[in-house]
Amino acid sequence: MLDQEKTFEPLIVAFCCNWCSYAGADLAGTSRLSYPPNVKIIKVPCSCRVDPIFMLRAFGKGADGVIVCGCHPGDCHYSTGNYFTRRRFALLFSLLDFMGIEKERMRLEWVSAAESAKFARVMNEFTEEVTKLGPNRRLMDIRNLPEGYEELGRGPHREVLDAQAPHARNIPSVVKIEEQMKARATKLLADGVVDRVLAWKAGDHETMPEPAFFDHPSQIENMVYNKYCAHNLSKYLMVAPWLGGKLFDGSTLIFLKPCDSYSFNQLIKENLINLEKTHIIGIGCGGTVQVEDLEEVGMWEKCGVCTKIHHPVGDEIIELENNSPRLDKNARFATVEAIEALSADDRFAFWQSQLSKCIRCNACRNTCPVCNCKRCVFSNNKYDMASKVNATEFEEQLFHIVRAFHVAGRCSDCGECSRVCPQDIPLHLLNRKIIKDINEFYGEYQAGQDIAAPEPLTSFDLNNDGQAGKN
Amino acid sequence: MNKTYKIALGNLSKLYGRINETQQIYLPVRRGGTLNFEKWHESAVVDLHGLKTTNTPKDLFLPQSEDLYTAKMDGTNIEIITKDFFDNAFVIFGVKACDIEAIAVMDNIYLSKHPVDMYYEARRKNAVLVSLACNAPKNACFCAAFNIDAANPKGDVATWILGEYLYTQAQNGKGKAFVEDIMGLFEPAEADDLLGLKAEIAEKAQSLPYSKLPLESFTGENMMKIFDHENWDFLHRACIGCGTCTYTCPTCSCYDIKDFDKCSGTTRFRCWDSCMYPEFTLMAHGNNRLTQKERFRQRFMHKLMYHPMNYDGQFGCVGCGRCINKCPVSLNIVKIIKSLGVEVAENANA
Repeated sequence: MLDQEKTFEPLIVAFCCNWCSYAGADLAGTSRLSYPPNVKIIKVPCSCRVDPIFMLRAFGKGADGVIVCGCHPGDCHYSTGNYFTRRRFALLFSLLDFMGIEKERMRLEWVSAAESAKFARVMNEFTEEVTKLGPNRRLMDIRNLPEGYEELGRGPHREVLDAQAPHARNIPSVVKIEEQMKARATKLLADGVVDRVLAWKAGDHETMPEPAFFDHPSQIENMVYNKYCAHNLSKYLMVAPWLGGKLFDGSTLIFLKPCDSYSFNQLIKENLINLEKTHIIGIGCGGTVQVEDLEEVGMWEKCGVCTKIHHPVGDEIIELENNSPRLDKNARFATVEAIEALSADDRFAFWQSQLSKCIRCNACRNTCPVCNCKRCVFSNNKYDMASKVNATEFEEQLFHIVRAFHVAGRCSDCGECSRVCPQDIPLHLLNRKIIKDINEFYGEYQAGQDIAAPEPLTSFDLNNDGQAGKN
Repeated sequence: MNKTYKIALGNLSKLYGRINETQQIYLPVRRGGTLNFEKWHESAVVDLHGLKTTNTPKDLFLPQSEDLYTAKMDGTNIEIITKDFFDNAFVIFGVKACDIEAIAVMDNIYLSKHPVDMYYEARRKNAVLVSLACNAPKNACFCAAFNIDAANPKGDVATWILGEYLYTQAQNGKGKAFVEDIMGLFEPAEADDLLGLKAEIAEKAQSLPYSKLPLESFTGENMMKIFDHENWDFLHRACIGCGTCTYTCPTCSCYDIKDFDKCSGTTRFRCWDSCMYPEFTLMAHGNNRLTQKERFRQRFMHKLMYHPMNYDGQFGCVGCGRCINKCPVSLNIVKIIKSLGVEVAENANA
């Protein structure tokens, strides 16, 4: 049994780059400069090697503070590694702060091989700061707590903010578009331009259309397009590896609503779509509705704040006759701003209350068009992060932070993650927070808009990327 | 006939508080915008009028994750610390007829054959099931197709909401003991008061769009015919392989056993598993269901064929309609039943 009254000694994990910071630590040692024994150093080839998962799992395993050290900007052994680190951690720290996790527990520092004194000073400062904060309880797998320790600092689940206010907007009829779509699909199939069509098939109930492939003009009569066709079809043209099956060899006609076309364009950018075998028809959309018990509930949040009218990609476009006026393009950030305005405790309570509903069904991952890894890091039976396990709240946090972060800069805000969540967790808010940060830190960026535009997380600005902390 | 009692809806929180004095009480609570069974506390937002919880009562008998034992290493010694079986009496309040029937399905799976699942049994033994009739079954409900009576839910105690009162009737000895314990808060009522409500519910349930489904063909002799049916080729096509249908299904009961390494020892625990995942029943040689078509087929074959064949015709589906509401791509068991049931029956007649 450990005595909780004992002075708190934090556990600090330091990821140090092999070329600068680790050498700096080494020099600190040989120069007899003292820094706290609480710091456990993990050597990495480059600070850019540090995946956010490393940091999160360090916290999960009981670290009270995590610090990433790399070469000074401009000094990277691999020329540019630390520029990527800088952007990545600026976003991650901001996201964790958004979730109410103490920002002070994580740090990014530049330490060169000669800066032994700086290394010792930084470690002393950081250890002192984390000691003041006390033990990490907000991002921690409670199963790793030593016996006798209590689960502190989490507090009961409580309501903080309603994140899913319904939207009222008139939905224009798309009957005309449906007819045009059917005509084009029949024509293209009959002419042999395409071998199959990807669209929506009428379900057994009006509100239940499902994504479907049509191989023959005679099947087209079953095709529908209406306000219930919320599904993003982009991913079906990529053979999702976990679905198995064979790659289709013929060419496909795909219908894309404006928001779908952004994610589809992103897939094109990532070389996951064979454009030679794809015929794209962009279709107008007036918004889609949420259905419960086969009855309309209201417009999906994502449609309520949607500003995407145009298609960034498409061989043909079938437009809506009168595109309804759209909201201000920053309206979608209103809820994110409302959460940002809360205190850290309330932000934590909000996300704890939401994420604790998660049942790890992985619908958000499997439906996300840019969650397209050949093998998901969570499809893993070896580590304590298998996709189906939901033993502690930490696993929910870890999964959702990583899920949101792995699509950072690639998420086009199609909102599918929140649409499919059986527990109605507003997952899109995590992604929107990242999008908002990217816009603020690195300039306006819309994933999927322009495949030639540099991506925010794989590009950098030599002088202007200082948001990650103190340089 | 068991005696009928009633309590004003306004006094229910008193009732919950009274039950809470001696045992934990779980009931439909709205939190973060979602209705789920949660432990009652004074500030919980209880919603008995909501139709369906997202999570099912199975969570309380087969928790999503449950520790089995811990092995501790001390030098070369390994100490096994087993976990005590669950031993707290608890009450689940407001369970709908379909979910009650689902518990009967789970009982068959876990308790009817030797060896019984002791972890499940321990929780099951300790629970009092208080059911609640559905005043307003909705379009996605199809319990009537499985001959489940939404107007007369089973369980240890049945309840009805009529006007401003909650009516209650004990259904068995366990229920009687439970009701007697909290009798002070109730007043006597006439069972006949409920007749009108019951007739109304029964009529509503029968008139819903999915209340009559072609289930006749799902019998043992048609097993291979259905298994090999060509319709599976397109039925599964939209499936994205998530576990939503399995995790929100009241009768899905598969679990996996995993280890959590704490460095100082290992905790073995079990957690839900979904046949929709490629890692399901992963073995040394790989997985025997290679594509989503096979995984998808397995789930529905299990509900509609294997389970009834093993358990005396009892279907593994109770018509709660959660998969209809929750599937990201609008697939659901009704579409399967309609597609295969009708065609197999037609072929048999031809």
